[in-house]
Amino acid sequence: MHEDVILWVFLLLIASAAGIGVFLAIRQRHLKKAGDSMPDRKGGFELSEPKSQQNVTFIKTLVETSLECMAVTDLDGKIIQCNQQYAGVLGYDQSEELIGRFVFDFIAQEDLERARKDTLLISNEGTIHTDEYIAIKKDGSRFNGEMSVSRIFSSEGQQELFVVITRDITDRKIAEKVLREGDVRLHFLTENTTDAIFQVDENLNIIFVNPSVERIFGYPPEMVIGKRITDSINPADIENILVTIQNAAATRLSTIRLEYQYRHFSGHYIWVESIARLLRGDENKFDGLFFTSKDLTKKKLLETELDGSRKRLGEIIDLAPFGVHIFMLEQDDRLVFTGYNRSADQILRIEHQPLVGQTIEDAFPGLIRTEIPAAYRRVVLTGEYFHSQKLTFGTEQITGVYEVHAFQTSEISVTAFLQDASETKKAQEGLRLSEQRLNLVLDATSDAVWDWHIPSGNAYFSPRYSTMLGYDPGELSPQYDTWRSLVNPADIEKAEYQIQQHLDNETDYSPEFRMKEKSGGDRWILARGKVVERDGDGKPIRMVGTHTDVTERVKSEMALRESEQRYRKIFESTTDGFILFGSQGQIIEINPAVSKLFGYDGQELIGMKGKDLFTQEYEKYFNLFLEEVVKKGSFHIDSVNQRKDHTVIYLEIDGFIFDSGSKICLAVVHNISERKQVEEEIRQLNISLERRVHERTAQLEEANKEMEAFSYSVSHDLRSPLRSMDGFSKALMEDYSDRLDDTAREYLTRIRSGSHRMSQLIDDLLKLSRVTRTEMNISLVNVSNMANEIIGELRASQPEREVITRITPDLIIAADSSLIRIVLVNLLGNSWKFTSKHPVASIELGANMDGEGKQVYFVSDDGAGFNMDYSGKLFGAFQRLHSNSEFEGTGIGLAIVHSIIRRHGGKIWAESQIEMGTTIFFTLSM
Amino acid sequence: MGIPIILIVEDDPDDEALTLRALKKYNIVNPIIVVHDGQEALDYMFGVGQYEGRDVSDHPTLVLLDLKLPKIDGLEVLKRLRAEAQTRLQPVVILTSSREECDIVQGYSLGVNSYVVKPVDFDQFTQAVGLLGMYWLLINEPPTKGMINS
Repeated sequence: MHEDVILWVFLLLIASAAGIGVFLAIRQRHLKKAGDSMPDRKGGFELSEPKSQQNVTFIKTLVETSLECMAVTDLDGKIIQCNQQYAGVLGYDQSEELIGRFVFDFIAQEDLERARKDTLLISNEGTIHTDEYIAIKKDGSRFNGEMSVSRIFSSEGQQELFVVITRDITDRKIAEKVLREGDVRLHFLTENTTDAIFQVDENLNIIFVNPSVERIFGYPPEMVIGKRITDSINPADIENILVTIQNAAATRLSTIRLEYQYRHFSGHYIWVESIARLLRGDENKFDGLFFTSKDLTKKKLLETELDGSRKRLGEIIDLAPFGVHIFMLEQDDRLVFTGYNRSADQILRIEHQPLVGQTIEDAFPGLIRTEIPAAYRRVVLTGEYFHSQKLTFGTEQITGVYEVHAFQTSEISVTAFLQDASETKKAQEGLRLSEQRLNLVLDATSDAVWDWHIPSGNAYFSPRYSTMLGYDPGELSPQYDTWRSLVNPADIEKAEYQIQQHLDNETDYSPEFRMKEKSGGDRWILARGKVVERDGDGKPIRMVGTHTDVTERVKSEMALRESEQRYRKIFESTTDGFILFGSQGQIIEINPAVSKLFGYDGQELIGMKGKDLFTQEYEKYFNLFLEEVVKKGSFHIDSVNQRKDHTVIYLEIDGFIFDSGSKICLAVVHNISERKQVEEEIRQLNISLERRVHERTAQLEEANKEMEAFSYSVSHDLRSPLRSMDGFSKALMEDYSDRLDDTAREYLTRIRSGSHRMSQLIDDLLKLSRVTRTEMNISLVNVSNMANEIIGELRASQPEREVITRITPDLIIAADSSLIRIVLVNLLGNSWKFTSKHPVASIELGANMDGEGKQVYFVSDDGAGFNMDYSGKLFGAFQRLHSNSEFEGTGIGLAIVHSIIRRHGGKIWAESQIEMGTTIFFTLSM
Repeated sequence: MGIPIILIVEDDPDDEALTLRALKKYNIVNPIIVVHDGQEALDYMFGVGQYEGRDVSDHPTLVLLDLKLPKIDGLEVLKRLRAEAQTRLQPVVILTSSREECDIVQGYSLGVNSYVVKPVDFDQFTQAVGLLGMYWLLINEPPTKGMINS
C-alpha cells in the first residue's frame, strides 16, 4: 500500500503550502479513497507514484523543507523526526533535541486529556484533526497553539505514523482579545468597512455596531444596542443559527458562516451572509460573537433565478423522451439510486419512487449480472462516457431492451439516459416481415417504389407505380421490360445509359423521362435509385428506387423556357435597342437593334464605352444619366447620339437599374430621329410663319398709315375745291345776277348742288374709313336700350310719323359700344327712312337662335323693300338700290354696318321683298 | 391801342378770296393781313424776315389759322406761338377743312381758342367766317398789350 503513503505525503504537501482550510476540503472529498474496501480503485494518482524504497527519505525531505512546524511521531506521539521550525516554535535551538520526546510533553496540563482523546480518535478513524491547545515552550512559557494531526502509513504498511503540524496562534489570540477590548485601529476599520459589523455578548445581546449597520439595515445604533441579535432575524432562521452557534461554542470552532434573513428597519427582510467569529475569554469560555455581515439580496435573487432555471431544466428533463437514472457513489463504494425523471417511469414501466435510496443492486437486481454497476462506477471515478445499445434489466417487471448513455454529472454521481431500443427494433423487424405494411407506408407518399432483380428482370412495383400512370394497382406486370416499354422512345436511350453508368460506376442515378399513361398521354417521371445488393464478383443483383411524378414541374419549366424564349425573341427582334451598361459605363450586352441603330457589326459594341455613342456635346449627359439611374432607380433623357459613321441620331433613352448591387443599368433606346425631324420642320415652319405674320403686320401697319395719310389728305384737300366751286358759283350769282339769265342761274345751282353731294360723299367716305381704323373696346352692351334711344331720336326728328316699334328687351351683347351704336343708327335709320312712304309702319328689333345655337339679331321693317336680285350690291360702299329722288342717301350706311359686323367676327345678310319690307340679320362672335 | 387787325394764315387763294368776301359781307372793315405759309406767319408774329422791324407788340386781335400749310403747318405755328411769352396769349382760331379727330384733339391740346371747320357750302361758310369775325372783334375781350408783354 505504498501508494497511500505517497498519496498522503502529497496531500500534506498541499496542506502545508495552501493551509489547513484547503487541506480539510481535500480530505473530505477524497476520504473514501483511503479505505481498503475499494479493490478496483484505480486513481489518477498513479502518475505521481515514486519509487517505494525512497519513501522514508521522501518524508524526511518533506519535513525538513516545509516551512510549517512539522513533526513525525509514532502512534504514541513520540517524535521520530521534526524540522527546525518545529523546534523553534517550542523554544528549542536544535531539532535533534526533540527526537524521542512526546508531543504531549508540550501541551498544557488542562488540554492534555482532550489532546490524547483527539489523537486516539485519529488513530482509530484515520481522520485528520485540527484543534487549539495551550502549548508549553522549553522555558515553560505558554502560547496558544493550533495543532493538526493526521495518520499516515509507511512504505510497507506495517508502520503507522502521525504527522503533526503545530502553529503559534498567540498573535491571533491577542488580536481577538484586542478586538474584544475595542482596539482603536480595529475601531477605525469597523467604522469604515462596507460590511455591517455586530458584536454580541455571550447572551447574544448586541453591544456594538458599526455605521454600515444603519446603512444596510436602516437601524440607528441606539435602536439596536442592547437588543438580542435574534430579535431582527427571520424566525424561520433563528433555530438554525442558535444551533450552529451552540455547536461551534462547544466544539471550539473559531469561525462560522451563517446565512439568514435579517429584517430591515422598514420591515422587509434582507438576505445576509455573516462570518461570525467566536470570541473566547480566558480558558476558551464562549464570550460572544463578532458578526461581519454582507447584504446577500442580489446574490440570493440570482440564486433564486438559478433555482428557477434548474427547476425548469428539471421539468424539461422530466418530460424528455428518454429515461434518466441518477446514481451517487457513496464513500463505501455503494452506488445509490438517487434520482430519475418522469419519463423513466413510462419507459421502464415501473414506479421508481420506492427505489430511491437503494443501491443499484437492490433497486435493479437484474443488473447485478451485467457490466452496468461496474461501468457506472467507472464513469463516476474517471469521467469516462459509457454507452450500450443492449441493456436488459432481465426482470419480470422490466423486459425490454434499452440503449443507455451514461455520463459523469458530478464527481460523485453518474447519470444514465435510457431509450427503449426494443420498440424500434420490433418495428424494423415488422416492416421487413410485412410487405403490406410497407405498402401502407409507401401509399402515404406520392412517390412510387420499385425493386428490380437485375439478373431475372423481375421487379416489384408499388401500387403507386401503377396509379401514377393511370393503371390500377397490380395492373402492370412487374418486369424491367414493362418499364422499358412505357418509357418514351425518345428518352429510353438516355435513361438506360444512366442505369448502366450507375451499375458500373455507382454514379448518381436520377434521370428524368416521359412514361406513357394508360390514357395515352405522357407523364414526366423523376427516377432515383441505387444498387443495394451485389454478388461475390461485384455484379449487381438488386436495384431499388423511386419514381416521382414531376410533370407539373417540367411543364412549368417548359412554360418558363418558352416565355424566356419569347422574351428573348422580343429582345432580339424589337426595333427598340436594349443596352446593359456596367458600373463604369461600359457596354455589357446589347440586342441586334442596338447594332443596327448605331451602325456597328454584331457584337462590336460590347466592351465599348457608353459615352462613345453620344455626340461630344452630349457625352457629359451620359454620366449624369447613369448617376441618376443608380440614384433614382430609373431615369429618362432625350439625347443626341452618333452612329459609327458619325451621323447624328436622336434618341429617347429610358434607364432602369438592372442590378443595384453591381450598379448595372438597362437602357431602352428608342430612335426618335424622325420625330425630331418632323419637330424641327414644324419649328422651322413656325419661325417662317411668324416672320410672315410679322411682315404682314408691318405691311398692314404700312397700309393703315397710308390709309390714314389718304384720309387726312381727303379730309383737308378734297373739300377746298368744292368750296371754291360752290363759293364762286354763289359769288357769280350774287355779283352778276343782272347779267345772268335763268338758265345760267340754273346751271350755277347745279354746280353748287353737285359740290354739296360731293362734300357729303367725302364725309361718308371718311366715316367708313374711320370705322375700319378705330380701336375696338369690347364691353357688354344692352342693344335694346340703345335701340330705344335711337328710335326716340328718330321720332323726335319726325314726330308726325306713325311707326310701331317692337324692341325685344334686354338683348345684351359683347361689342364695341360706339361701333354697335353706328350699326343700330344705320339699320334703324334705314328702316325709318324706307318706311317713310307708308302711312303706318312697323319696325322690329329682336334675336333668334340659328341651327348652330348662335344668336342671330335682326332689324326688320315693312317698308319699301328691294329686289333680292340686287342683294349682292347691298353692303358695298356707295351702292344704292334706290334713287336719290326716291330715298336720300349716299349708300355708305350698310357698307359701314357691314364693316363693323365683320370687325366683330360676325356675318350680315338681308331678306327683302318689294313693298313688303326688309329684314337685316347679323351675328356677332365676340 | 390801334385798330384791331386780323391775321389770316391761308395758302389757298380761293379760300383767301372767299374768306375776305365773307368778312366783307359782314361789314368787317378792320385791317386784314394775309400770310400764305406757316413760316411767313411766324415771321410776321415775331417781326423777323420780311417783317423785320415790325412792332411786334402790336398783336393781331385774331389769327385765323389753316392747318395744312406749306413749310410749317398750322399746328406747329400754334405750338411756337404758345411757346413764346409774347405770343402765348394770342387768340388763335383754327379754320380748316379737316374734321379729323386727331387734328381737333391736337389743336385744343396746344391751346387753340376755337376750332372751326370750313363748310363746303358757301352760304354756311360766309356765315361761319362772318360770325367768327363779329365775335372775336366785337364781343370777345382780347388780352391787352400789357398782359401779353408782362
